[in-house]
Amino acid sequence: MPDYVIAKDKAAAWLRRLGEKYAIYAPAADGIAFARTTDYASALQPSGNTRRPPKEMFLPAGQMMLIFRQGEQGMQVTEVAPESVASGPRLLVGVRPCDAAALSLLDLVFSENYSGYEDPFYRAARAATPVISLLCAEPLEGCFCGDAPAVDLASPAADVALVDLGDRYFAEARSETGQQLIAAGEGLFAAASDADRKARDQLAADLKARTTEGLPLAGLREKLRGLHDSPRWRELAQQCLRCGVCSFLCPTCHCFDIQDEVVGCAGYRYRCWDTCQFTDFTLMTSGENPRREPPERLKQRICHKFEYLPDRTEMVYCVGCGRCVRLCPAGLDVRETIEELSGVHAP
Amino acid sequence: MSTPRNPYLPSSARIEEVRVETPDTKTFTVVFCDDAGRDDFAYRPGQFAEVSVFGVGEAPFSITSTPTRKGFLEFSIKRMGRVTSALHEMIGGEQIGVRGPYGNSFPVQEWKGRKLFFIGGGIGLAPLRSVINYCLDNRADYGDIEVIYGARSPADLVFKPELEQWAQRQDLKLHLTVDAGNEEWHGRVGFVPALVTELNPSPANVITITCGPPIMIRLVLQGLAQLGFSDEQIVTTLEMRMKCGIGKCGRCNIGRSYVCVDGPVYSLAQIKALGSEH
Repeated sequence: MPDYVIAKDKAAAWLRRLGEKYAIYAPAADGIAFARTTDYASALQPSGNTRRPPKEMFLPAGQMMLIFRQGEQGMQVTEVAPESVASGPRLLVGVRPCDAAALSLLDLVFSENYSGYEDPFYRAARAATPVISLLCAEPLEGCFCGDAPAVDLASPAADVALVDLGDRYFAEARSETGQQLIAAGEGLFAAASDADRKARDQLAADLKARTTEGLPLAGLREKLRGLHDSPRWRELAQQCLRCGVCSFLCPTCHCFDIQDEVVGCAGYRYRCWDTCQFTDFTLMTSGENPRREPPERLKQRICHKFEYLPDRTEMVYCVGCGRCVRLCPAGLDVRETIEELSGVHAP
Repeated sequence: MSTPRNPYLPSSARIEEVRVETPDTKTFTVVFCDDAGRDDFAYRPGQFAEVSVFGVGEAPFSITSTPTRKGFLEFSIKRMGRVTSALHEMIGGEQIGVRGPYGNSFPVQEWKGRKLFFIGGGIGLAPLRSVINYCLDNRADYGDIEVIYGARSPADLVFKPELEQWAQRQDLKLHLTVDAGNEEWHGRVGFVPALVTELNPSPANVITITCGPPIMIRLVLQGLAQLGFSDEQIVTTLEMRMKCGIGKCGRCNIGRSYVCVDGPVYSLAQIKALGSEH
C-alpha cells in the first residue's frame, strides 16, 4: 500500500475529520492510560508511553458477559450483545509499536484458530476500533522492544503507522481500514518520497539500536524446556511480592476470571482480569493446587510468554514495552530473568 | 456469513431428576429447555460441560451419561464449593445453564478390538461411566471389559443400582472394593491400586483407563508400569481449575497444553511429554 506524509499543522484537521465518525482515544496528559479526547492538536505526542497499555480497550478490566433475571417463566438469560460492548466506533491514536504488536498477539489468542473458539467480545471491540500507531521519539528506561521479535518499529501492526519526521508525519496505511482513514484526510496528505521513507527507516533503525540489548527472547523457548525443575525459580521468586502488577500492566497478558454478581432478583455474569501470580488462580475446590508456591507461579508467567505460547503460535509473548521492569514494586527485572535463565544450564 | 454463536452464553436446561448417590454426591439428570440447546450439544464420552447456577457461578463437570442414550445429560456432582453446594440445594424442575460440550474425549475409535480395563476411585467413576456405557452400547467393537472400582466406604460407592446391573452382565467383569468395610459389606476391603496388582492383568492388547483421586492415580500408574503396561496403553483424565472452557482465560494449562481444549483425556505418554508439572 502507498505511503503518505501529512504536515504537522494539518494532522489536527485530519483527526478532527476522523472525530466526526469515531470517538478518539489518545494517551492522556497524565500518562496513565488512553482516554477520550477532542484536543486533536495534542493527541499525537511521541514521548513516553501510557502506564496502562491499550489492551483494556479490547479486554476491559471488567466486562459484562450476560444478564439474568428471575421472572415468572423462570430465569431469563439475556445476551449482552458483543456488538454493543464497544459503544460505537472508536479510534486509538498514538499507540506505540510495542503495544500495537501486543494487540496482534492478543488477536491470535482470541481467534478461532487458537483453540477452536473465537472470542466474540474481543472480536467486536477490535472490529470497532482501528489503531493509529506513532513511533516513539525516545525509549523509556527499561524499554527493550528492539529485542522483541513481534515488534516491527518501521512498520508496526497498526491500521495506520505514523512516524514523526520533524515538520510532518510519515503515514503508512497497513490495512484497508487504514487506507480509508487516510482517505478521510483527502487534501491533507501528500505521497511520501523516497527521502521520507529513508527518514522513517532511519528513525526506526535508530530506535531499534537504542532498545536492543541482545536478549534472546526467541531462543529462551528451547532453554526453558530443560529448566522446569530448576532450583533457579525458587531464587528468582524470592523478591516477588505477588502483587500481579507485572501481568495486569502487561500488554500481552490476557488471563481472566468469570464471576456472577447478584442485584436483587437479577444479576450479571462478568469477566475480569486475573493473574497467574495469585495463589487462588489454580486453586481447585478439592484443595489441590498445582501452582501453589511463588516459584511455580513465576515459572508459569515466564514459560507462558516464552515457551508455551510460542509453542502454540510461534510468537514470543513479550513486546519489550518495559512496563513490568519500570513498575514492579520489588524491583524485579524481567530482562535479568531472561538473561539468567538463558545462561543457566539444566541441573 | 452468519455470526457464530456466542460461546460464553449457556443454554437453559431443566433438572429432571436428582438422585442421591452418596452422603456428598448427587446425580442430576438435565434436559435442555429448547430444541436449539439440545441440537447444539452433540457430545462424546469424556467431554465436559460448564454448568451455571445463575447468581452463584459456573463450574466444569464431566458428563457422566453416554451419548448413545439420547435426550438427557447426567452430571454426578460432589458437594465441594460454592457452585456444587448450590446445585445440591436444587430440586427437579429447577433451571440451570449448560454450555459445551468441551474438551477432547476418550479415543473410543482407536480402542476398537482392544480389551478395556477401567480403574476408578470415588467420584472418578463419573467420567468413566460415560465411556463404559458407551462401550457397552457398542459391545461388539471391544474385547473383554473389566471394571475395578473402589471408594472409601460402601456408602461412598456411586451409581449403586448400575453397579448391580454391571455385576449381572456376562460381558463385563466388575471388581468392587472399599478402603474400610462395615458389617453389611461382604465384598472386598482394600485399596484400588493393590487390587490392580492382585488381578495382575496382562498388558497384551489392553488399554487401561483410570480416573480417581490423585493419590490413587499415582499408585495405579506405578502398579501398571510394574505389570508391563506401556505409557501409550494408560489413559487418564487431568483436572485443572477452569473458567472459560474454550482455551481463552489462560489458567488450566499444564505446560503448553490447555486441559479444557486439549484435554481432559491424556495418555500417560502425552502427560510425560508435557513436562514436570504433573
